[in-house]
Amino acid sequence: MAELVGGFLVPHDPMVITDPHAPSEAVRDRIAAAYDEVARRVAGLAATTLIIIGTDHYLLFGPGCLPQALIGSGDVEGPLERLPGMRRRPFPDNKPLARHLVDHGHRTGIDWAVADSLTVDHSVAIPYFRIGADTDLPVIPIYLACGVEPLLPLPRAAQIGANLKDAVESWDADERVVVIGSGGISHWVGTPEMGRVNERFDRRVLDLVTAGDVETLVSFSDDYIRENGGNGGLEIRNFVAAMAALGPCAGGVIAYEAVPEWITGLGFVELVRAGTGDVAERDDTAEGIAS
Amino acid sequence: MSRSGVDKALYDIVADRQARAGFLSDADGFLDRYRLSPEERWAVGYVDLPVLLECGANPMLLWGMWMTFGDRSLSGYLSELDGNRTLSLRKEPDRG
Repeated sequence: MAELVGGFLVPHDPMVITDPHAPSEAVRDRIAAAYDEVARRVAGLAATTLIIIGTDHYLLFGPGCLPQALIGSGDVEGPLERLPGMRRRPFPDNKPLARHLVDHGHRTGIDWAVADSLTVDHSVAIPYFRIGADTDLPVIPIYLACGVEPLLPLPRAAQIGANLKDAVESWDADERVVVIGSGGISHWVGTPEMGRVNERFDRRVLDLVTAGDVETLVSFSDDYIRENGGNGGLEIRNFVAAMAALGPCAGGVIAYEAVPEWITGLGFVELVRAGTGDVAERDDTAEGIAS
Repeated sequence: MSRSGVDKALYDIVADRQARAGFLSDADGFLDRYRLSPEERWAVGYVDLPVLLECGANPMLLWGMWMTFGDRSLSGYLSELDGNRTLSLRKEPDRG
């Protein structure tokens, strides 16, 4: 039987790659170490498939079609953009499971849009290259409407996450699935406040994630998020969906850095299902990364 | 106000290489394809980022325009938004 064996929240900030020397060497090293630590933990979970929940940045989908929630259920490749060190190439996929997620959702109240051939942008590609590419892990990309109106309502992100959990657990094949919520915390993209990072907001989000408090995260209004976390902060929808996909869970912060040079509050968190009691133990391995 | 027309034009310029080439070679011909007010038409054609922001264009598209036509620096972008127009590609589009 398939099961969701773990979850992580990681950033997908392209400036980490396109402007690598902007912050201090110490910051760069901690961010690189955090990605490596997530990859190590994913390997430790013996994952067989990654579900990466990302954000369209008005690159994949234009005004002609703006899906609320989409699964890449066929061929997957990426990245769409030119990113140093990440040459576009096909990604290993898991079409049977991806199509099961779609079918399950359609039967149970989630009207997934579907891409039968998808070139993912950096929000899926960067986590994949950092975490799953070295071991050729199959990936199922998901996009939630976090950046372009109409935004996916936060409660709907939680419903989608819960539906993913049910779908995975109803899949009659041996799979160990890890879900990744991809996104920065506070960041302002393209607005006059671009470059601002609100560490207070970031810490609040991380505290709620650590406590597994999906309910409070879902209660955030979009106006509150825009004011305190910027338009980029709206992608905490991906965090909510990943948390809900695990069910009751707690989070262990692997690393956090407020990096104005990369315009973003960058958080790395492991999500562990309630009752497994693994977070504190695993956090010991992250000593020296978290700031 | 026709924000969707502005976003459509900007999206096409940023995401579609052929559309971008058309915009660069024949801005008026390109702009004729979109439902834009005279002010919006001017702002898109002139790549006037502060005015486009006021028009309600999605800021991610404005950043995309800067990454396409500007020096790709954050400081340059913020200066541009502040009214210090530095983009060299500007032409004087027909106001339609």
